Amino acid sequence: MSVTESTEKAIEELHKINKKYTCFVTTTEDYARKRANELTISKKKGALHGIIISVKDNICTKGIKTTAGSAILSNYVPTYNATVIERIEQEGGIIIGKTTMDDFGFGTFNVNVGEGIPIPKNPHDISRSSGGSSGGSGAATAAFSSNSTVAERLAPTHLSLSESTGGSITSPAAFCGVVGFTPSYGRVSRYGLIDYANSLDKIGTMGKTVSEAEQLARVIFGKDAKDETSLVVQEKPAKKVKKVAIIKEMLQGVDEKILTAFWKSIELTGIPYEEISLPSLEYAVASYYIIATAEASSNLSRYTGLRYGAQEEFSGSFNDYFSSIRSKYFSAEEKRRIILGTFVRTAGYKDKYYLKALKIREKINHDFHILFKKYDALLSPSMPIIAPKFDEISKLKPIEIYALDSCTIPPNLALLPHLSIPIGKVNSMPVGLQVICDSLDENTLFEFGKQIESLVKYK
Amino acid sequence: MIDNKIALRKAAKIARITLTNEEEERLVGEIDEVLQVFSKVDEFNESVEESKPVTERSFREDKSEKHIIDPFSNTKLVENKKFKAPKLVD
Repeated sequence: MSVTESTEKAIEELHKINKKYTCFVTTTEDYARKRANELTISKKKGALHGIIISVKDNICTKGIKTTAGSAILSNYVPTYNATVIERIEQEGGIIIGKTTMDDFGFGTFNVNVGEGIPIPKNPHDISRSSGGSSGGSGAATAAFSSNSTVAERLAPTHLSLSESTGGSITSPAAFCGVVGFTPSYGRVSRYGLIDYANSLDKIGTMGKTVSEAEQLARVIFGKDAKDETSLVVQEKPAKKVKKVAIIKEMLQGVDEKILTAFWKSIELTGIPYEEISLPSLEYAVASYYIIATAEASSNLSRYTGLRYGAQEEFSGSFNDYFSSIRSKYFSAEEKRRIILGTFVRTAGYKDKYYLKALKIREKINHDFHILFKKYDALLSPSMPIIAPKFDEISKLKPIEIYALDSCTIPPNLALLPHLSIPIGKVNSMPVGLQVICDSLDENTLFEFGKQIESLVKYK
Repeated sequence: MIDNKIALRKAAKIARITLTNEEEERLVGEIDEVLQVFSKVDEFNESVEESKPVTERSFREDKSEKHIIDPFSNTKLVENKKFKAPKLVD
């Protein structure tokens, strides 16, 4: 098929998928057709030539509505592309739409959405969550067909650009039975990413296989002058993984059937492992939520109804106006996290919560650094539960939901690269294996991930 | 702990969020529950060596750059190429 033919076929598939699973906030059919025509005329064939790409809706796309899943940005149209979008388009990727998400990334099940933003349904069972906050990306990656021949080359039909702060790639990847890749912090430019927590946000990828997730990842890697926190990386060749560690604290609270699937997959790999303890992880969830909400409360102070986002007629002073806009358009979860994050930073509480959380984070980073001197990789279940039903989620308290991030938070807090790889099913729902490698060792991570994938043979 | 509405209202005021009575009733319990769990971080007393930055600060030349983004494209609150804003004081 030519690029224009494969794009048209993908658009047909997109409509069917979105009707069934409501995973897109915005679809960009005309834009995709225009890009396909441009690629047909151009002689250049980049690394993503003709592959359609969905983009999580907190990544700015010039001229295409970008909502971050929130009602306060439901009318926001960026005037520029995020650096990752520029890189994807330079390599021939075709943006097909913006995937739905929890507002600003605040969630594990993609149910915290602003008015008018859809909640995605899991393609394995539409009464269940696709995970969050990148639920739309997870559902789309699971639902699109596997491969197509584009310009005489077999290529993935679709790949998804996603983002993680505390586990927002791993959760939907595990729940939807696809591969999710979260890079080391600094590997990928955050220029054009709508902030949740600047010291934790990482743009990553999803695909049906490790190779697919890697294919998109390698296009978006690299230093960016517009992002001070992006890194120049001296690539090291992939190590052969000879010894892995399994951290006991990351198995606590995990469903028994998921543990069974986890241990079965470890056996299939045949890799020697040691079970070890990392006591500092006892504080990981608390430390993460304190830091993330503190940073979020600062970042979200920019939404005041003046320069962008929801606006109304002025009444009263600037405080009255700001408060009226924010109170009306922020959701319950946005208000909860902003207030929590404000509280932990205020005088009298900052030392007890925020500064302690920072110290714990340093300790956890240090402990992981020591571990990687002895072990080549760490393994854990991706999530402690299978994708819950929507009515089950509505009965959970906030603290119960936050606790379900216990597997994903440690590598996210320590800014380590990690993969979620599907390894089997429990009660007909997919479960994932989380693979973690040392900072900036993506080469080892991808090779080991492919090795695990070939041995586990998930279908 | 955020065990009373006064502390909740103070944080909400700083955050420029006005809560309804119903929201206050709900949030004071939810946030107190969350903070009770999170207060375990206060038990942590180990000394920790601070990590060092992995990059050096980089600077660009102090020259103004051509403005290529229209700052007013996402707002109706514009007058004479300036952002309109509410009164500072009522």
